Amino acid sequence: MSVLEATGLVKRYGTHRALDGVDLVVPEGSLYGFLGPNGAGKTTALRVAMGLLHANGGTIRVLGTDPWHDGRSIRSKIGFLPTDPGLPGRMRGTQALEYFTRLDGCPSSLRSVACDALRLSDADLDRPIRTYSRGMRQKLAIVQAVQHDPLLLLLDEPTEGLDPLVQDGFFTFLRDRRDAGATVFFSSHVLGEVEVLCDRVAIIRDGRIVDEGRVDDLRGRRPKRVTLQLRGTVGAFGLPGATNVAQFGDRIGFDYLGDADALLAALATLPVIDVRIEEPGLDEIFLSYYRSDDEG
Amino acid sequence: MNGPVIRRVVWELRLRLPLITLLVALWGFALVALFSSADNQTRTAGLDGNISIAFRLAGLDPLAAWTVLGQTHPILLVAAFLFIIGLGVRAVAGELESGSLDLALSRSLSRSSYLGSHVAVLVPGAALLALAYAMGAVVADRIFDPPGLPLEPDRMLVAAMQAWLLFLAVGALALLVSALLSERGRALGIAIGITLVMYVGNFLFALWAPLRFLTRFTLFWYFTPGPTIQNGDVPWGNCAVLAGFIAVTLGLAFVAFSRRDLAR
Repeated sequence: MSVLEATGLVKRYGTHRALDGVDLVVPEGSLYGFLGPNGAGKTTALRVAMGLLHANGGTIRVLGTDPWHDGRSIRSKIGFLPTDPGLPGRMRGTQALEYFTRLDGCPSSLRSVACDALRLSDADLDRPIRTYSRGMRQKLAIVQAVQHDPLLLLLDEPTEGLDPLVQDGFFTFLRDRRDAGATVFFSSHVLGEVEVLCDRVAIIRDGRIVDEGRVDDLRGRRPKRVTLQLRGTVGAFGLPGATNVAQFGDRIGFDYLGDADALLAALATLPVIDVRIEEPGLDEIFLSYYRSDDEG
Repeated sequence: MNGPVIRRVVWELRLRLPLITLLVALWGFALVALFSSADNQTRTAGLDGNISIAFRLAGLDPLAAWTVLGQTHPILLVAAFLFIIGLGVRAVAGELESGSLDLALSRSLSRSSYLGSHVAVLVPGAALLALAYAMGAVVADRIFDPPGLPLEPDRMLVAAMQAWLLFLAVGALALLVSALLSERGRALGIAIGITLVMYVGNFLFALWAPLRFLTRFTLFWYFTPGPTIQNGDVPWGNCAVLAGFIAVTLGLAFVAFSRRDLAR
């Protein structure tokens, strides 16, 4: 079952198409990464999902509901973290969390767990928000998004401003929420964190989803990097499925997409001393889409 | 309307609103005290109350006319509008720009409920400011007992109601501008600009006959506390126009806010 389903979603700002036919299905109970550089359409998609923006075309269902027309009925089941969240600076941290709790009366059952995960102490919460650093504000904004134990977390670049130690605790918290049955959908332009954390990922470019699937599957769809060290030099190297071949003396490097049997058979014909076969990282997959765009 | 939003807005105004209310009350108090003192001084000097004479020559009750001047004076209007426009502009454009609107509307809170909560603060806030002037003037009148007819509290109350309607009309305009825009500064500039043009226009258009009809298109033309304080007449027609403007403008603000994209 999916908790968020978009079909042909279009959002225009004047003549600019921020979302240009986005198709997306976020399965229930998944940790779903939404990857793309600044301006690709991540924030717009999240704001449409929250009912803050009205789509110009296509459909979107969040928890089975149209967020623009009936969003109010589902928002208590959603935790939302926007980019640059504006917290009431004159309030103390605790006051602000209480304020957001009282807005819809949902009990803040996860507040202390989230505060612990994000290393937000009682002393921190007792200070006026205007005295907070950027990272502290982000932590408080995350707590307000998760404190009511929502079924769906929509987080827009949540790790902005968090130090690595806090990020680690935050990721553990998100995994725990996933294990408890919640769905986490978060946007990021940091490839490493999506790779480490997510079950599935969608890559967005210029308002279109250019790839989507399990992280492992995405890797399988991209060429592996093969590097050979040979005993002496050989003639020109050729193998069906090999691209970007670079041959320097006794070393050959190439990208390979094809059957492993065929690769091993080809290597068996060569005087190989050492071989290294590298899975493509998510960053390479991601960059391949953007590189091709630049080249195009 | 949403209780927590109302409480939050009130909490954030906990210093500003009492301070401006006090200033407005002091303005009313000081004007009557000044009238009393100045006329007593001229009387002591054998001039028999120059201020009173000047107003009587114009066929006006001196203290009442003086009080009307104070109620329509730019100092009072600027103080009141600072609060009113500030509250209206902050409601949507200010909160959207700061990012707090996203967080509030990510909860089970409808947009109309959110905007209604700001209206729920605006209505009594404007009433407080309008009453403060009347209270200050009446209290000073009772303390100093200036020469001539005393101020009638019931007339001052009706004049305060007219001021309340004017304040609400400007507040509704600020809310509408705020509901349409996403930047606090721009919304503030436009709301202040429209109010200023109407205020100045109300005087300038009246100076030249061919343009005099334009005064009817300013809110200030319908703010006429003079006959009320002077004679007890209530300009119900003007009140109805202001009330109609408030209803229509607030309605537009609700419609605009409920249909607009909240992009930052």
